[in-house]
Amino acid sequence: MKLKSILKAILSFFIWGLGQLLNRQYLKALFFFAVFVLFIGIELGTSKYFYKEDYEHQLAYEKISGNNFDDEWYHHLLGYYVKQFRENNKTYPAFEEYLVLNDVSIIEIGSGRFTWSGEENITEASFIEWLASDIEKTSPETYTNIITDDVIEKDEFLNNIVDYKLLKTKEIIYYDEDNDIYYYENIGRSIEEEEREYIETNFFTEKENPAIINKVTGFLKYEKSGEIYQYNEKYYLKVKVNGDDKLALLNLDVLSFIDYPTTPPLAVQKNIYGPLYGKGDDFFEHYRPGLIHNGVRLQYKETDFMKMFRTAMVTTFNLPGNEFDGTDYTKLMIKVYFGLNPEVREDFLDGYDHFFYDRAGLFTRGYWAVSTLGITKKVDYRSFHALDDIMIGTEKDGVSSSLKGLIAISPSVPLQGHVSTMLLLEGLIGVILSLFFFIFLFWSVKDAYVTSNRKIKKEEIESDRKYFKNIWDKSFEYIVLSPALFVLAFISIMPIAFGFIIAFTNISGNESMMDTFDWVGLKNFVKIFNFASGLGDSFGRAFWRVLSWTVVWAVFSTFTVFFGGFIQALILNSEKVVFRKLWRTILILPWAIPALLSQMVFSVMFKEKGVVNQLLNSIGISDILKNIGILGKPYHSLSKVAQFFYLGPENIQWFSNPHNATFVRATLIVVNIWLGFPYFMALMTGVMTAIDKTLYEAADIDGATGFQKITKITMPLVLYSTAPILIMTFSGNFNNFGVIYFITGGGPNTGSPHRGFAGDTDILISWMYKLTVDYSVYNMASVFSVLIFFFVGSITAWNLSRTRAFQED
Amino acid sequence: MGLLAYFLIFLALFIVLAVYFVNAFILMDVLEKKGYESHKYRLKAFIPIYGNKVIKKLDILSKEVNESHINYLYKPYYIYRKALVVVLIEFLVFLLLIPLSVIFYLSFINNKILTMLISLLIIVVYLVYQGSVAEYGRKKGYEGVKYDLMALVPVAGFFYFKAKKPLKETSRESLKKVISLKNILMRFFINAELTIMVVIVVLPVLYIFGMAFSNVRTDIPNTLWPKNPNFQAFIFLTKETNFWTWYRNTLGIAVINMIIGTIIITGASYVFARYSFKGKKAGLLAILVLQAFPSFMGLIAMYVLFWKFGLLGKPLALSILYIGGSIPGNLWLIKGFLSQIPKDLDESAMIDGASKVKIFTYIILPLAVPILTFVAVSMFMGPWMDYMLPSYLLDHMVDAGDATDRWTLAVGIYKFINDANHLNYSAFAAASLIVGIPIAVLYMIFQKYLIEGIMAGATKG
Repeated sequence: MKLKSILKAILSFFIWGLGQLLNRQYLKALFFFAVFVLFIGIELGTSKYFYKEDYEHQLAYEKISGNNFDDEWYHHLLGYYVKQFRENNKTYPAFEEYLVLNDVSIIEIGSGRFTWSGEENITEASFIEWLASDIEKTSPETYTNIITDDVIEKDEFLNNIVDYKLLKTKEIIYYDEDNDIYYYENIGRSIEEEEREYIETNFFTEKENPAIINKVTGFLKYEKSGEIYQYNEKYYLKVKVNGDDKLALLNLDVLSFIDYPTTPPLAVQKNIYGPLYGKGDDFFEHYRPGLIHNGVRLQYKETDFMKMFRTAMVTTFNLPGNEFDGTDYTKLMIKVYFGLNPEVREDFLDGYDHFFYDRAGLFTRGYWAVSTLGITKKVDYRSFHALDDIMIGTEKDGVSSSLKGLIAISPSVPLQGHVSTMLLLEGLIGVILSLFFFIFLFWSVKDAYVTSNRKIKKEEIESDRKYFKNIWDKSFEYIVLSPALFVLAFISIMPIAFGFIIAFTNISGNESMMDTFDWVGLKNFVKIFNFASGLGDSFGRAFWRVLSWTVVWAVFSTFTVFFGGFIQALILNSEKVVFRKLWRTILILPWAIPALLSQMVFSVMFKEKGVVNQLLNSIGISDILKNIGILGKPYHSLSKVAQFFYLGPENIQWFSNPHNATFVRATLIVVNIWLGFPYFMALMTGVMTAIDKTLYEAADIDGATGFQKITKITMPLVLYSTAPILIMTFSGNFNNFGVIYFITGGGPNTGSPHRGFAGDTDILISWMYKLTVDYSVYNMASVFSVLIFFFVGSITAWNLSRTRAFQED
Repeated sequence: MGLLAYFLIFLALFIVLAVYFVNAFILMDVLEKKGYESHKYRLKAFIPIYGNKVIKKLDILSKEVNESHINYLYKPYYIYRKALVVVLIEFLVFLLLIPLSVIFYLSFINNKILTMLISLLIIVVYLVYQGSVAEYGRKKGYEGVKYDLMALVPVAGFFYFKAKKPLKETSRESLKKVISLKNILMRFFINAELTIMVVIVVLPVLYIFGMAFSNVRTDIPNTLWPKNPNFQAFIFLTKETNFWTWYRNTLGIAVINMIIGTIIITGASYVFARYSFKGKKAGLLAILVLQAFPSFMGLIAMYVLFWKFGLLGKPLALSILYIGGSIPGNLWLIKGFLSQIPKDLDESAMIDGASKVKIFTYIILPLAVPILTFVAVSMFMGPWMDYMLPSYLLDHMVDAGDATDRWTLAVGIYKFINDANHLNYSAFAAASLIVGIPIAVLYMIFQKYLIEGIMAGATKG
């Protein structure tokens, strides 16, 4: 029954070789099974499915640089606690609770002497968890009335106190005296934009529906300092008005100023760190640890426990042979910070202990990578510095309880997210490699099915040995091809797939090589054709511009070179030439010299102060041109016609003429003739000498003139045999990077973003190169190369599929 | 007169001439069709309106032609065709005449041009003389290089040939033809064209030599040949740059590319040439398509790949890329060549009992030596002057640094004229000479070979 075969085939699908086993073909089964094991082996070997972690979430935490303070250190901490607190007859109740919860007991064995047990139950993780909760409890979010010093908890404030507005205490504002309006500058706008924006505001607070103006000339400048002073039992904000120090009364309804007192009684500064919310003349200072206000980050509040903690830490760092350093402590601070902000920790663990990224093997990870291009973006942790005061210490602390100056803490801790470029690469490698293995999979399935069927029909089955010998014979071709195929797959196909995929993402900019980017589908392509969008306006237009010039260039350069070579070959071939070989050898020089060098030489020769211009000057041609009026004068002073033929302000700007792109392009095509004609000349002389002489003799008898002989015999024959080369040259010129890049560098007017970074003589490939290497706009470069491929590739395929050789096969 | 006026005058002249010649040529065709051959009638074609009338009235002499044939010549389609050809030729003539006349005009004013023109004239006249004498000798039956050289000698050469007995039967008339006006004129133009072309071709080369022997660092050399030629630039190149390191890098890449690449590709091409197997046509097409991809597309991928495996900045790693990139093209080439080896050889060997491997090693390989040499040579030459890949992969590392010993020749030479830190025109020229001369000489020696190889790749497939 066919069912049996199908079953065997399905089994073979899941475990390769199983079907063969059931067919009693043991050698084959072994073979397939071996490959299967290799496949699974690679997958498992490159994975971390069975990774044994020393501690929880090790894979994620390892990404933060720094070592852990082991659990042992915390056991020692217990000793410090005992010394600082218990021996001084003090306790820290919260900590005591924690100890009880973890079965740690401290026993007094004499007056002022203690011992403890059960400290092995303390782990870093549980300790940090507790510490975070304690810190959070001791630093709740509050609002403090600055006059009465009443402290109100956050919830109560939000529910009961309404209509209190946020004060802006540190900024620069401008005062329009005539209209009694204040303005501040909108700093969000980029510096490039020429017009600045100034937004209307109240003196202390934001205004609803503000007007926007562009100039503040003649307005008074007020610099609010952010410092609050108390004077004569009232509160003021110190302001600098046109250079004079003044105090502005803190009152949202009435604005009044007094001079800043320089003689006693002086104003006393009140330490206000957090943002102020006020109504009328009642103000609350908001405290939330971690909040950044006027450039300062609010800190968590100090506790006795933290002081002891710091002391313990200082001692540790001062021990000889200490191996901990600032990086390790920073890591600890981050862990505490995680404890205080569980959502941040969740995000961290999700992103940095990702199943597919961190644990999966080559193949699984590969498929995931290609489909998602990485998920975790990079982070830069800074907020942990809200713990600076309590974990490092302040100026108030003595040396024994302050870590300042002892170790260096980094201002931020950046973590590399998923690097999409790497991921894509590894993903493609995994996918392609897996495809190679899948060949064996399908082979196994098919073979199991077929052999099983044969068995059922009681047909003869060849022995395993014979089977493999047949395979060798039949697939000899495939086997010999495989090394080349293998190399080809990874060196040619993989990069092309990579480049292809990039066109559908949003990778762009200097950072993006190391960043996470995403699939955007056909958005890039659509943008090119939609000139309304910003991207379309610059790149889209540029694309069509460059494309049309590329086609024009390819056509003209190919044909001029072709006919130039043809004419030269004709002349060379005439009977009237003596020492033909000598002439030919000299004339073939431009082809023999490496193109790169001659292109670079031309770029030097045709510089504005270069040889060619010098020569023209000394001959006198420059004078003629100056008389005509297309040289020697600034562009804008000329008539329209002269502007059309404009050559340059002083010397002829062969390749750098910003106003006359056509001239530059024409020069380029002419220079290219020098570079290209010798090749065709040599080719065609060869063809011409091969033409049967009798054809010419017959034409002579018929009375043909020289001209007719050329046009009716030589030209058709030569054209016919060199036509394929013509097409090759056309597509070669289409992608002729060197001529453009080295001679003109892409042409005048290159490098401006709103022209898509394309110059006037940029062809597609030089433009794409610049986009990739100089301007890092990787995705657009890929988009264009995909488009080029479709254009050139289809022509090439169509052309070559027509050649006889291909069809014969 | 303003520029616009000049321009309009030219345009008007152009159009008038075009119309005149189109008319003349069409009339000549009519005459030809009608059967009038002599010059008398031909001249009539060049007279505008009168000629039209006269020719129209002429009877048709030739028997195969009738009225409709003649009318065809006046049809718009035919006129447009003629017009196109005339305009094209006229355009080219104008293109040539304008500079020529300018130069002519200048030679009266400017000394330099005068001297240049005169020297050109002398050379061309000399060549014309030599050519005529050589032809004279040939007509008498003396052919060969020795006699061509003889003709080089002024005056005496002619008498030498005059004295010699004619080996062939030639009439006085044909001898006279040697110095006929038409002949001399043609010789003049052909030799003039050749000389001018040679000057144009050689000028940049001379310039490079001059630049290499002067010692300009950052100024652009302005004269063709320096006042005090010296070897400073070469010394600088060796002592103060990593030039020889670059040379070594590039050489290494080329050698690896040549050896490993040829080995890999040969096997694959053999299979494609000799065997038909499922997917062969698809495979071939795929290879062609691969070739059509701009090599550029893989650039970013290659960068990341190298980055991952720490190969950025290691020149030898580039050979991987060159090998991979040249697989499609060269595979096609070798396959084409191998297809031409007759299959009978294979079959007779198989009858004798040889295995596939044996056939490959002992029969095919020896016969394929020519194309293999060509492929090996071109794979050797390929990396020398490639700029795109090395510049991106060796110089643009994520962790930058300015170690120049990573570079290849192409990158280094480019930097000499384009990088402000390394600007040195003389060094550029000197390096170009050191690198360019061997390659150029090689190309000149093997030119026939190389051109045939490229042509074979394109036509025979």
